[in-house]
Amino acid sequence: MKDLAVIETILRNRHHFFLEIRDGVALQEKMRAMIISSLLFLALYGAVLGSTHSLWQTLSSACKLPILFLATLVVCSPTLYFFNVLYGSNQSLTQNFALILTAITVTAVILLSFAPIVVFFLLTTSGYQFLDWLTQIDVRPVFQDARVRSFGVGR
Amino acid sequence: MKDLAVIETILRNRHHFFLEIRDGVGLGEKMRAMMISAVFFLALYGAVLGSTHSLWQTLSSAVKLPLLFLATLVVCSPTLYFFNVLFGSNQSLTQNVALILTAITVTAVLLLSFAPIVVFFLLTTASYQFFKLLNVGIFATCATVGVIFLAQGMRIVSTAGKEGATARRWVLWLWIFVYAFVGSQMAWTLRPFIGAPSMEFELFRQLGGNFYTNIFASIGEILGLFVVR
Repeated sequence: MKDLAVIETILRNRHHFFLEIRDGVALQEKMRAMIISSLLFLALYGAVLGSTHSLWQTLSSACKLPILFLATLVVCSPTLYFFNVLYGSNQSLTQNFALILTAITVTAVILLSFAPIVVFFLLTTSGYQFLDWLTQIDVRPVFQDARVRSFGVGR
Repeated sequence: MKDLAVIETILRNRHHFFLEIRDGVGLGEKMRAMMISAVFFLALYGAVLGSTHSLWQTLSSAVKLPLLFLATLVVCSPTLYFFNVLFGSNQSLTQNVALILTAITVTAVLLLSFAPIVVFFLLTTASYQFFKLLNVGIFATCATVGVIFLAQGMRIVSTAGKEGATARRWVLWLWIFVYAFVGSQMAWTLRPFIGAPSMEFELFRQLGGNFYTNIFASIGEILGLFVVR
């Protein structure tokens, strides 16, 4: 439960949070908390997405949505790190990783805040194409960092 | 009776009311009063809508109209809250819900103020399509005034946090778009409210189509272009 409180800190007190990342204060706990909360939020949203189909799809989407984000993070963070270092940044890979994780956590909680709307349309419409389109427009504005999704997100 | 007086405060002394929401003064009582009066006003208006059809339709609309607004509130408030917090607001979820409730209460009392006009047309015209479109117009008008009220309230409540004020204004208007979209879909799901004269009473109708095509079909029929069932 304590880990989920990190989202409160990120949203309400982000300046302080980023300063702590800059100074490397408690980076491990922060990253653990962000990974746990984004996993939970994305799993919930994935379950909502999959629940149109079947129980197995629900479980599989609940596993796959967090993997989508974390795999993209793993694939893309070295590029960001090395380019940053090349142009004179003194951040560590961990700090870069923590920053991208912040973006993912924010995306995850915003997605979760759309879940009631998606569930409602799920219950009241039967058009698959419509739901597909709706979830797409949900996602687009909340990607804070375009770099996070620019590679590896297969269709 | 005391609870219904909240509408007087909201309409006459809104600045003070919004400031109290900002400072969290008596939030519980305010929300209870707004909830009770909004449910009461909407139930009355729902009863007027349903009274064209039958007694059962009257009762069912009186229950379903408050349900429509409260369900839309529940579905949409988390999105508004999280986007506001993301853009630097320091409001709680309760304050957000209280603000949206204010908009709903204003919409409800305006709807009720249209009730005599609706009753008049109900007694003097027989055209179902006209009556339906008249109500769509009335709902659109009242809801627009309600969300403008919400925008005013949001501005007053969020004066404390200057950071991201422009972004939050955009968020609010985008959210209002989502709210209207969810609201119209909710209305379509909970229909009928008026009840087509040619059809039996049903609690919910299992027919296809959507809100927007139905509105265009009604306009077409009124203009004599074609006939809908």
